[in-house]
Amino acid sequence: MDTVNFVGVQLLNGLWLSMLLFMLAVGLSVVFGLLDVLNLAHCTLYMIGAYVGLTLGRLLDSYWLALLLAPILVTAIGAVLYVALLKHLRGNHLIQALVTFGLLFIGYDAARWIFGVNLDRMQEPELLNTSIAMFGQKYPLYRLYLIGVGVLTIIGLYFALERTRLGAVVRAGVDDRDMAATLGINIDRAFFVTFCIGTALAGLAGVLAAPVFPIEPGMDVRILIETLVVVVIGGPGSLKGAVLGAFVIGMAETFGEVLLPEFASAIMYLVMALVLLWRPNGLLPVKSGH
Amino acid sequence: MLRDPLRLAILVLIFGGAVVAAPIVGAYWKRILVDIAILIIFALSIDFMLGHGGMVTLGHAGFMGVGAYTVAYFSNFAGVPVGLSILMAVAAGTLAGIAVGALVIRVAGVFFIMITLAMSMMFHAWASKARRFGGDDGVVGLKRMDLSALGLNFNDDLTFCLIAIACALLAYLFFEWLARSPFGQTLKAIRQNENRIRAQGCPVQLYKLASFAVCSAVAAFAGALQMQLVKGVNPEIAHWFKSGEGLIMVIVGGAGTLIGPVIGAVLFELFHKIVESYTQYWRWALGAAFIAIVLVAPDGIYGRLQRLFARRGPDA
Repeated sequence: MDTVNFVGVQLLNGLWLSMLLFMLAVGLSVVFGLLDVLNLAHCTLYMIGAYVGLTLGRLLDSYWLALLLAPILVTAIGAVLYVALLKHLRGNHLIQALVTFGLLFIGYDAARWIFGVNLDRMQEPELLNTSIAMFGQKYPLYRLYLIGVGVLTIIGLYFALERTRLGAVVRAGVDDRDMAATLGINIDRAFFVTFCIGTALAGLAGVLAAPVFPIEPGMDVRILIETLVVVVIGGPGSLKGAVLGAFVIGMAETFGEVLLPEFASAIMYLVMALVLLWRPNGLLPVKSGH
Repeated sequence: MLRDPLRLAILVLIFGGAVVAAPIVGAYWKRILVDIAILIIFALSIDFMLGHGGMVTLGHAGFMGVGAYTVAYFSNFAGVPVGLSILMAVAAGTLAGIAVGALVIRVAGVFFIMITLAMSMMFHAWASKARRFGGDDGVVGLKRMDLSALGLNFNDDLTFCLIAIACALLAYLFFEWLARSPFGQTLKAIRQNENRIRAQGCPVQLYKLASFAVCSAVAAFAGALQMQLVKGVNPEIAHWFKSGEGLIMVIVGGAGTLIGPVIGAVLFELFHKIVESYTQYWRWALGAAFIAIVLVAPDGIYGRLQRLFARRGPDA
């Protein structure tokens, strides 16, 4: 009975972590698969989302307003970043990696300067600040809400990808960019919109995570590692891959932390190693024409 | 070997200058000279992998961590003499390089960057939680090597400083030699046209793995030297900051040139110390400067110098 409860709780923990990782990974993955841009500063936008959410939450005394506004602000920042910098770097992976890596240094000091080194945490909204009796203990409702939001996001993205015109363009672009452009699709605009959506998701993930993770400079790189691993094992450009990858890593991290804390990171490495040895292109790669 | 006058001039300037300055300056600057020496060794190992192995790593500091922690472990917890511990650190670096490399070589470009970053942070995470090594705070008060058999006092600032400079010069010469060796030439061919040389029967993966392992071993040595310098270990040695700084030194100095990382290391340390004396927020300046250089002068300082001198007179 105890084991069932334990496993149940950890499964829930793994699920909400998976949802957060998914929201981050899907943006990074699709942007990489479609635009061929590796944005190492993707999770820095997540960090900005967390900080902005925290600040807005306090200023406006409302979690829900912060949840709505922060992703918009982050998207604006991301859009500027794209137009000013990233758009011009398309095609050269090394330069992209280097430039966005430089942004990580800037982001770290910016966060430190504006907010200081101490970690902060956002207040959960009144509505969700309770626990529900589950698996023999009181499980925070906020985490269940995270899982809910994650599932809605997955469903929403799936429909957007499969049923909308933009989705079709994205799928075509990921599959064979040049061909899609040849067919007269305004691939540049699709790129930009996709980038903005990915950024919005990162910002949203930031606000959602703000009440559960410590908000501090460097939180972007910490989650970047897991996000990158999710993208790599899921297969870049793939929505389903991001879901599966996020699930695998989320569970591995959660159970690893609890069962073997000193080797938790080694478990992630092992999982990644196994996946790459077995499927070097990821678990559910997008079969590409180029 | 060093028939290029520009390169020779830079080497003499930097290493000669260091050797001359070492006895004259105070303890603070001696420390900076050692820091630069260690950074040179570290940056060289990144540059060789980039320029000759064709692999860009964002996680090389992880191997410095392996080196430092191995020396610390063997010399202080296993009763092994420090000198031997340093050798074991290099061995550990090699093994770690083979273990990581075997996996990472299979992926190219972008994934490679991602995974190397991930791996080094995993080491950092382990080190931050390792209670034996003091976790986040690290450990201090560890031992330095006993060189009294050679009539040297390693605990003396000047002696340590000169030995570190010598190590840095040796590292440079080692990589120059490696680059010109058949091994290095094969790596160059692989970088130029991998498929072609594979068609000629060259075991490409093996060569890449070997260069990865060599560079990891050298980075581990740098880590060991760092441990000897501070007589302690700290997880920060494996932090992505360090990996990134190493890469920045390489790119700013001139990637793939081997003299580039030497220049880059010197400039980085000076930049760091000078900016930090004005503000604690020196990293954003580093990031901004780095981005500017990547966009404006991607061939780095040595690259620019080369072009400058090539235009002026007949080729030396």
